[in-house]
Amino acid sequence: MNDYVIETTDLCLRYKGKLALDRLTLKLPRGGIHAFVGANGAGKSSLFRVLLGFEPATSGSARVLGHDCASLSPALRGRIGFVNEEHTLPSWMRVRDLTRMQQRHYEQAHPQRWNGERYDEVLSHFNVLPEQRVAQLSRGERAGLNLALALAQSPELLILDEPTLGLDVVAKRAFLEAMLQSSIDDASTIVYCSHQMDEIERVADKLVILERGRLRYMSGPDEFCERVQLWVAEFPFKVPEVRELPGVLQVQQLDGLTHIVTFDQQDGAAFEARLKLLGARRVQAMPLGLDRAVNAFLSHGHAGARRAA
Amino acid sequence: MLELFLSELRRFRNAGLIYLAASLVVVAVLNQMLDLASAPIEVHCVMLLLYGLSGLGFGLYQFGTYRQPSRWIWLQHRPLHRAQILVGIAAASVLLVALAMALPLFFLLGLQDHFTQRVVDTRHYAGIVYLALSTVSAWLAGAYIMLHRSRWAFVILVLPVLLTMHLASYGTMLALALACNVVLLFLVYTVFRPNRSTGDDVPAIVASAVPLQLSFYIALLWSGSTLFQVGQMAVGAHPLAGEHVLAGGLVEATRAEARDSLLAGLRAVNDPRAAAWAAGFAKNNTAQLRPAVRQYAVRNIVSTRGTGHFQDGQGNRWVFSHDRMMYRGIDRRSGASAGWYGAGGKGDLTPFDSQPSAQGRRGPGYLFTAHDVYEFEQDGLHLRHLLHVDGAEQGAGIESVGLRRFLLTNRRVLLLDDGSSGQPAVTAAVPLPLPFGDLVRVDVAQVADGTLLGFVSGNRRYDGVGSAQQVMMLVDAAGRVTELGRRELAHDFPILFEHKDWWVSPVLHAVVALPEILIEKGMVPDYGASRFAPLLLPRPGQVWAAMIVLALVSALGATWWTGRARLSPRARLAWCLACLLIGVPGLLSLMVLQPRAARAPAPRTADSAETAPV
Repeated sequence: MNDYVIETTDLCLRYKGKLALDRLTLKLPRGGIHAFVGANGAGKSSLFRVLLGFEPATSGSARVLGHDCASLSPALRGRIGFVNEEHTLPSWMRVRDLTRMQQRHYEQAHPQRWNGERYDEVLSHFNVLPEQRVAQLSRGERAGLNLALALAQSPELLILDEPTLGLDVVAKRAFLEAMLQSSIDDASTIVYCSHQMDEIERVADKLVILERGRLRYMSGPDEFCERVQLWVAEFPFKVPEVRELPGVLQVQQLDGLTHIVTFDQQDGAAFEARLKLLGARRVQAMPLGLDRAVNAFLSHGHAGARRAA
Repeated sequence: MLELFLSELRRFRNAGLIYLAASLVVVAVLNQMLDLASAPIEVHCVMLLLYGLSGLGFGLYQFGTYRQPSRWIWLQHRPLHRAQILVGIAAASVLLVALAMALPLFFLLGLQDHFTQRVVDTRHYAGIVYLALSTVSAWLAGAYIMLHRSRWAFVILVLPVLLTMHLASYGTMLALALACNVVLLFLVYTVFRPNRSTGDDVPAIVASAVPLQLSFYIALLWSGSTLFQVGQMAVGAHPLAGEHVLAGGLVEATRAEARDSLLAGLRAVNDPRAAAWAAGFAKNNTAQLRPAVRQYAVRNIVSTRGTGHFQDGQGNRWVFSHDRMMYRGIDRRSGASAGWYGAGGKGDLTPFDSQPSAQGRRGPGYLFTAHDVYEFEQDGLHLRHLLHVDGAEQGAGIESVGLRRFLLTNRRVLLLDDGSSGQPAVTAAVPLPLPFGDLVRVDVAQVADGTLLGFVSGNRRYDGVGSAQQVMMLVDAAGRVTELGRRELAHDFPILFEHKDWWVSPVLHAVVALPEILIEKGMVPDYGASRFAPLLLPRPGQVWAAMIVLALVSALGATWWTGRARLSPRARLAWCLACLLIGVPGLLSLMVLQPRAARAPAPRTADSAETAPV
């Protein structure tokens, strides 16, 4: 068995004239929940489309569950679940018929894998009746149904592209718990794409940061937070140009204090001394939460931030 | 698959019911106003067009919604082979077409069959099946257009037009429509995949390339010809639009009065009697005989061709039944049955050998079948048998000059005079000096030395038969036939325009011509000629040169284009050879099916390569 559920090498995708994936090399090990983070247009959805065989790579290679993405068999598709942010389901079908159809398709491919209990459990958090048409469901209810269907498939690899958009707090919690349970019970690998850092902080085993089609970072969220640090400096006179210092991700002026976010400042004492040398009266270092850390990390290369700079 | 089938039925259930009800009402009303089953072909074409547009719209909408990225993933990303998914959707759609479109027609035709005196044949029921299959073809074409990544995919519409628009028997047409649907279904299957581009799938590329090339070929001819002619009209040089036609040309010969045409022909005759003949031409001793019938309705024809009906002098309307091969009559005043009308007239139950075609502008009218000519008598209630021809010889037109009748067949012109018994007898037979298919007209004149005939050819000049002539012949009193002379008619259009069908792509010209040659459509053939003669016509040097230049340009274009297409060396070579063989349509299909790859991303600079540790 291949050790990696997802494996890409120098993967490029040019879509409508734009380079959506830029020589992306990524090896995602089996098991756990991998959170994909990136600004809009970072290439997350493009990567998923290539992985599921819906877009041919311009160059490079992509494999999923050890198989070439360009030729996924129906049986292999049965082992990969996918939920997109729009929660697209056939609006003309009744919930009961849709569930029956999905169940039959997945049971035919992989008998015993359909987990009806999990389906019922996830759906119980939503006010969805079997005889309702999909068109009659609210966005949140549709999301709940879609997630319940995806988790009931007990996939080896479940790709979730911003799945919790539109869910209320209770439903979101129920879904995350079901997802965690699925990851443990089925030993499935979950690729979870979201902009909600609190969710990621709660569930992710690994953080994957994409930027402009490239892999910028991959490790555990805690490790990432440890490497990002916030420095608050007080410059009594003119604030020097600290943005160009090595490792600086973000500089902000708040209440007369300069907030500097750095990445991988191994030698904190040296950086503090450098700031003081530049005129700082007081310097204080403190850790950052995942939300701000990722924010600072992404804003460093963000198109808007670059323009503002 | 079954679930998808049911899901799709459920999806369009209401729309299907509305269409069924609307169709039932509209067709029922129209059928009260005119007998739709036996209506002229134009009415059937309008029906075909409307049902085709319905099918096309259905396919475009259905797959247009599925094509949206998130819906496409929902549909395709499941543990089911794409063939099963497509079969589920296609089966539901075909059933919907059958119920919403064909069922009302069957219902109304059945009512008409059992409760009225109108003619309802098996071919009419088959015609509904043909309409339904054509609607399915349009639906498949819509699906292909929507799913194919190229915006040029709409040219696929030429395929059903090419394959299924023929006036052949219903058996042939149903087989062709079915074959067309099988081809289209396969084409849809090639693009009905998660990644909708056909990629390196060789069978899919070939299956897509052939109809695309045919479609481009037809489109190039249509658009090129139209543009050229519009240009000619804009500068006032179009041979058919201007008032001053080219002297000595085919257009002039085609438009001339019989007398003028014979006078022009006599200028090429070196006979000393020619001046006297010319001086004697008058309206009452000259006439023009044209091939009135170039195509007979084949038995069990899928639509209506020729005179499928006529009205006698007693107010009866006679409609031809292909099941009985005779006419069935209705009294127009009372609506009561008037009985049957066979080869002997009213009440005679002798079947015709083919559906008759009526002719006759002056005097009594005539009925033509492929091998027999009849004359109407007694107010149209009786038919007098004039002549029978055998085998491959078929009648094509009749005209009178005085008491003499001239019967044109695909082999000769027969001069008929009424004998003492009142039955017409052949007094002379003039073999056609030119193939029947090329014949435009025969001008006849009674002169002092016998009968003068002027044969004008050039009917297929725009189909690549370069020669167009006028041949003068004399039949003397003893019935001897002498050729007096012939002249070549000038070209109204440039040579390259006349041969455009061929030099654009000789291979595709042959492919397009094959259905016309192979499908039995009741065409009156050239007597004694091979069916495949149109494929072996001689071509002038400049036409050959144009063809070779285009082939080379296409091959060079393919070499340039494939330089950046992601193709293996073998595939690249195959495309270049195909373009050399097929010409510009081949190159255009290559550009549609094998888009040029984007240039590889530029190497990262030191700055852009900067990333955080991974």
